[in-house]
Amino acid sequence: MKIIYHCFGGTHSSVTAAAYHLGMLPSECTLKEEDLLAIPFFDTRDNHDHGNITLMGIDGKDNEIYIVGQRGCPQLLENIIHGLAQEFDISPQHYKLVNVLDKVNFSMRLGGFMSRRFKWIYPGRPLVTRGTIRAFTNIINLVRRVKAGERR
Amino acid sequence: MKRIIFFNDTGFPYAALAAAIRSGTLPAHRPPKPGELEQVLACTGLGRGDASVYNLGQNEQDEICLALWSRGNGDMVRRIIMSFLAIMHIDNYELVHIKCRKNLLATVGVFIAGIPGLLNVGLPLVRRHVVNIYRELNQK
Repeated sequence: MKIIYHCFGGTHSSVTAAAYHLGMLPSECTLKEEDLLAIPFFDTRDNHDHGNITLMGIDGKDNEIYIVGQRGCPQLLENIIHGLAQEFDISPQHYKLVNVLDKVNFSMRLGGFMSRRFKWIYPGRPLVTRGTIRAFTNIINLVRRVKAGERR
Repeated sequence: MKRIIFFNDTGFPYAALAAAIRSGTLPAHRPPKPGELEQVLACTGLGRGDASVYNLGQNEQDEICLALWSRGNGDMVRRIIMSFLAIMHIDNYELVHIKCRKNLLATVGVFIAGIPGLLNVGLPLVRRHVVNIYRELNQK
């Protein structure tokens, strides 16, 4: 199974969700800014990476975990992928799309926009990092649901 | 079996028309008659641009012609298609970007055709635009 986490830029919430899925992050109470900044792809991908489905790692159950940015158009991404899967005879059991965008808070949006769009790494990056820590509980709840769905 | 994926990002179904020409659903040697064009547009819709994938049939070389179109984000659409098919280990396809631009005639035609009861007023405008760019679409 290929699990594809997607968000606006594919560099904050989806990366955090994928990292937690892969066991790269500790539980919610002990998460620090350094942990987030150490994740590959965190706050590094740009406009020209949007749409590029990138492998983040393989989990303990041999699921491939991917991330992708969809510029706030989750329906566009889903229509393309489901449509192509149907035309190329790819079973829906072979992939899963997980939208992380609705777990994003204002601080993440503002910080992410500053850091990625305008390249104002400071103050954008600290802002998005703090926002991610605040949204972390919601993100990991989503990942737990995805993992629980996998077990069924 | 090879698939040809036509796409464009202008919010008008140029990709569907190009795919229909390639598959033989629309004639290649002359502009389409109103009924022929309506038949294709009835299947695909006119202006949604939500990147849904449509199958426009199969040509004589056994190639399946697919079409999708969006409003903007053409670069991202290309990357989504290519990277998704790459992770699924599929390489038996051809991606064709239709670069026709939508003009005022098409915009007005689509707008009028969308108003309930005015489909028969809007479609001739759309057809007029399609006839103007048909040679360009046929070369794809």
